[in-house]
Amino acid sequence: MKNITKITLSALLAAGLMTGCADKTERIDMHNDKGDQVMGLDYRDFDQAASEAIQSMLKSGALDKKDGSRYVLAISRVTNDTMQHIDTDQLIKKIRVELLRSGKVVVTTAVSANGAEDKMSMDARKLRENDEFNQNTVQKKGTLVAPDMSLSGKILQRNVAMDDGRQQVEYYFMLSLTEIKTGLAWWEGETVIGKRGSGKSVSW
Amino acid sequence: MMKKWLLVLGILTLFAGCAANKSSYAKVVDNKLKKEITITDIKERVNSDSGLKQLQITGTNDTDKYMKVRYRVEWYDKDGFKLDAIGEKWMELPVYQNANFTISIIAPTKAATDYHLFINN
Repeated sequence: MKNITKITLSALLAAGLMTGCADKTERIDMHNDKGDQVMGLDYRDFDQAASEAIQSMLKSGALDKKDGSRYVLAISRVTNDTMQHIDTDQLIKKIRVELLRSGKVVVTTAVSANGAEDKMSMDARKLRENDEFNQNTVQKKGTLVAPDMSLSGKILQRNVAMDDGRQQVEYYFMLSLTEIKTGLAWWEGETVIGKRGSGKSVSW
Repeated sequence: MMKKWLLVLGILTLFAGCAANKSSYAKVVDNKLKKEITITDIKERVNSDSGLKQLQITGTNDTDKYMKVRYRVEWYDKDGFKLDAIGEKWMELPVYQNANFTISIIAPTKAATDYHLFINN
């Protein structure tokens, strides 16, 4: 009986010690994060890629409309060609927000490569035949605005095995801004982010 | 009498001009880094097509070592209100030994007239 009590107490003590040793969760200071780099993509990489793309786009003059008004931009396909499960909106949303702030562009959510981002623009128009709705408040035909420009791109990953057993991972953020009328790319940009680390690290 | 008024108006305009320039600045915030790099020139212009302010900050790395520094910029409108922009986050900048470096930035919107640029390690 004494032995059982001893074993139980030892187990409890060990469990208590292990709990004490567990790392404390802490919130990242997103404004001044000096945390170690990871082999995969993290928010700092998306911030850098988005910031470089926006600066390059604004400097290029591709978004300066002669009459001072804004271009209507549609988001086309942005392919994730990496081994990671990332949502390309992590990059595109930052660019959209900043372009909207610039006053140069307004983004349509009624048209995109994957269908309407916000289906409500079309769904609300189905109320035209519905007597329950005041038809004066239903949108008239021909009011949606078609896009002038399209933003498309790709995020690419390339893994390189190094001689010393470590690995190098290169990420390419490639974006194009196309004028829909002519199909010509008015702006193109590429940001490369490279990381080097243990060959045992899994970058996906 | 007219001449006196014109003189007063001229002096006031000069002061107003100085105040506007003073509200924008670029500085190295880390004390150790201040001894290693120097900001030598700040150029500004408003792009006639886009109406956006452009900055070019030039500096020198006075040491024998390559450094990776960080910079961020805060933008303000003409009334001194801070504007949201992705450029507020720290961006990395390579600074080569005994060489010049350049930071080239464009304002996020036409409303951005003044800036505070910080360089850190």
